[in-house]
Amino acid sequence: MPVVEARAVTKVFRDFWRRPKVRAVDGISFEVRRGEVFGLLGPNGSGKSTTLKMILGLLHPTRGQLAVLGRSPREVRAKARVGYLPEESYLYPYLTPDETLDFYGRLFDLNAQERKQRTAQLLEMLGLQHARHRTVGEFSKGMARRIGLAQALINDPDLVVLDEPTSGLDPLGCRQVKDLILTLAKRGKTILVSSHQLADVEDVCDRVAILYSGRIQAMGSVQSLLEDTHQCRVTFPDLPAASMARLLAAFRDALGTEPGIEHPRRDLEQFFLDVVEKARRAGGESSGAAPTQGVAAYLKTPARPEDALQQLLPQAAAAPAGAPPTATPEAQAAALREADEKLQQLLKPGSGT
Amino acid sequence: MRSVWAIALLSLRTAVRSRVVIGLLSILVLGVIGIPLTVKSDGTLAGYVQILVRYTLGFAMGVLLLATVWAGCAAVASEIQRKQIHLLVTKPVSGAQLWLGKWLGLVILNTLVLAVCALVTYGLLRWNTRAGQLNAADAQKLAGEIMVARARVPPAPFAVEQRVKERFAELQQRGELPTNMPPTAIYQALFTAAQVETHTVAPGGKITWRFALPAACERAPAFQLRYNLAAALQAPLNIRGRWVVRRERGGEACEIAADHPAQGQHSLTVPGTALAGEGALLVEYANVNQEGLSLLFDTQTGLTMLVPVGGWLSNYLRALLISDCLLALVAALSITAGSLFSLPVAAFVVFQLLIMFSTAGMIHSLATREAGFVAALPDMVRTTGWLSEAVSGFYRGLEVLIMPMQNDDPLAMVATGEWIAWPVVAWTFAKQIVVTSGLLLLVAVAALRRRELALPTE
Repeated sequence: MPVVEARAVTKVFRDFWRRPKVRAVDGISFEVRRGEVFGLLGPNGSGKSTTLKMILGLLHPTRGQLAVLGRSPREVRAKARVGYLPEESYLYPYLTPDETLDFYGRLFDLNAQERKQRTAQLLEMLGLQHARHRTVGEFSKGMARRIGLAQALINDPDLVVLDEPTSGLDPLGCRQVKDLILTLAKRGKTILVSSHQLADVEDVCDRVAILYSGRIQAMGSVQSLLEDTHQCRVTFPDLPAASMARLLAAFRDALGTEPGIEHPRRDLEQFFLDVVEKARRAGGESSGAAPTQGVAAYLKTPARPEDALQQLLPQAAAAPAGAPPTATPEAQAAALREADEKLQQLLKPGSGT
Repeated sequence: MRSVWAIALLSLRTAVRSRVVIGLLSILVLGVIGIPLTVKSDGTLAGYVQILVRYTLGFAMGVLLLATVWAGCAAVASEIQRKQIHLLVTKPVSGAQLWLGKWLGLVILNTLVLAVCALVTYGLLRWNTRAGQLNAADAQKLAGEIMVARARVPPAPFAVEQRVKERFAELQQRGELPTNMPPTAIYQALFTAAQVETHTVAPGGKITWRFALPAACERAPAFQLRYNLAAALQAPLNIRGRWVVRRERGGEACEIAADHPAQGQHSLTVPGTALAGEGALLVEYANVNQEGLSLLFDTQTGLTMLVPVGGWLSNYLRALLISDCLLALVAALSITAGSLFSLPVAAFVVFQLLIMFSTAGMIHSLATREAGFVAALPDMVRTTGWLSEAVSGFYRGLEVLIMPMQNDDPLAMVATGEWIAWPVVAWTFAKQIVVTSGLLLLVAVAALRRRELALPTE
């Protein structure tokens, strides 16, 4: 069952006299599958925020069907498993981060101990533990955004809806949020991101839908949409001039034209992060958010038995996407068998999980 | 329930941090301290207690009502305006929980503030009437007549309807009904004339009232008769009369002579021990003036019997509970208005409704009198046309709408030592909290369910 399912969803905004004014979303259909990071891309006014708001029950579709976790988005039970970060941080400015997270934790019926633990872990994860007694109204936009993100995760949600998650964040904050999205995805959470920061979407999303004028213009995996199968790129270390000349001659013979050659550039984001990291090591201080501290422990703990498999495979979970396995095939097979056995134990009726 | 408390707590914090609410509460503090110091009473102890309890707490209630309207309307409306509600309604919180949380927060705030005002007022009252401040007579009067809770028992009304109907039929038969007056107005004039007739005591004449006492008042140690003479046909300095109080079933009678000016309110105390037996009391007034003077008792408040039935402090508590119920109802009304409209529109609507409700007593009186007159008219003239029917229907509808607000002023009652029974508190709670606030909750839930909270125009 898809986590989000939209079938021919249309949203028409009407004026005071109920006359149609704007068709913000026009018959879109898509599915967000469990455990994937799905991106809604589009320029301003393309309908992505309206779509998100319909998924959250804040707006009602004019036509079509929408289901979140198999229920109507307006059902209270569906909302218990959803976390939402809005485009702006609509927080109460007179509350401290502690009070804010405690308040939203109460809305999810978490007990006092759980709220306290999760608040501490989230603030540590987002580097805000030093500002926990300041009111949110005093925060910079980036810091308020982090609190917004923390409240979206307080309930350990199955579906995390992020509207422009990197808006207002500095490159360091952007990187941290993107890392967090990837970590949450590894943990088995489904993430729906709306953004017009194309690089951010490219970095984190498994699949994207590009909207324009309320309609889906393109949809698919990032890889399939961006791959140019008519060109190849070969990367190798810098070679001595003679070796390079031989290599170029071979390419020339094969292609019949002159190949393009250039030195690869680091991207600006990575360069910036390196500079900041050096400065930090040199002892520089900032009044903003501190460096993030991994992931909140409760977010690492599997909420459902079927998530246990991923947690029981530490090597696989720790390795970045595409990285070569560090364990031998025999060790991996043994670990998989062990994990499978543990999973079967967990899924047995009366196992208490 | 945890989410309801969370929203209630947040609602409290929001109200405490609102500049408007803080401004109003500051005025409240100044008023509660300043009014007893600046307003002069009539120099009597009763007057002082009235000032302190009725005006100081009445002022506090007025300010709290204003603060409640503002904070209640803002509770939902400003959250929608600032989009903070996006984070609330995307959590597992139903519309009813949201409304209840907001309402509970305001009710707690109002109760706390009202309790503080009431404590300060009571403290001031006790401090200013402490031992050594009053002479023995005043101290006795304070304990026995002012800081008491007495039930107000009206006499059985005089049966004048039959007489009025007969008179109306007689005039109609003779063709003497005025043609330039509607039948209800004629009936009303005849009714008033009949009432004046029954409340007038001719020289040497008598008038007798019957009081059916509630069970709680049967064994009272003393009864106080309070009466108003609307006018004397001639106005000498003093008028004289003789009151005789006895049980309906017989027994000893208590006789008291009265000699006082005609105007104003008068009272006399009848010791309960002087009246043997049980059952209804008959109170007779004999006009013994020598000057051929007719006396007219006020047709509405001519005679009332006051019977002490409880302590003043518990009466004070009941008055505060009724006042708190009113604040809770206004909070419910304001939150519901805030769920339907934007903040300024919601506040405007609530103030309009409150103005309408403040005339509840007058509308009720109009509705019941009009309905009573129409019902009492003979069949042949009862059909008064669609306009009269429509007006009458409008009044009856209005009466249903304003029913929840129909309360006697509990602070005025406690200030004058009038007993407020627990059933009155229970009835107020039932109609203002359970029924009316419950209906307002349903309206707000339906509105929140139907309303799209993230429209571009919100």
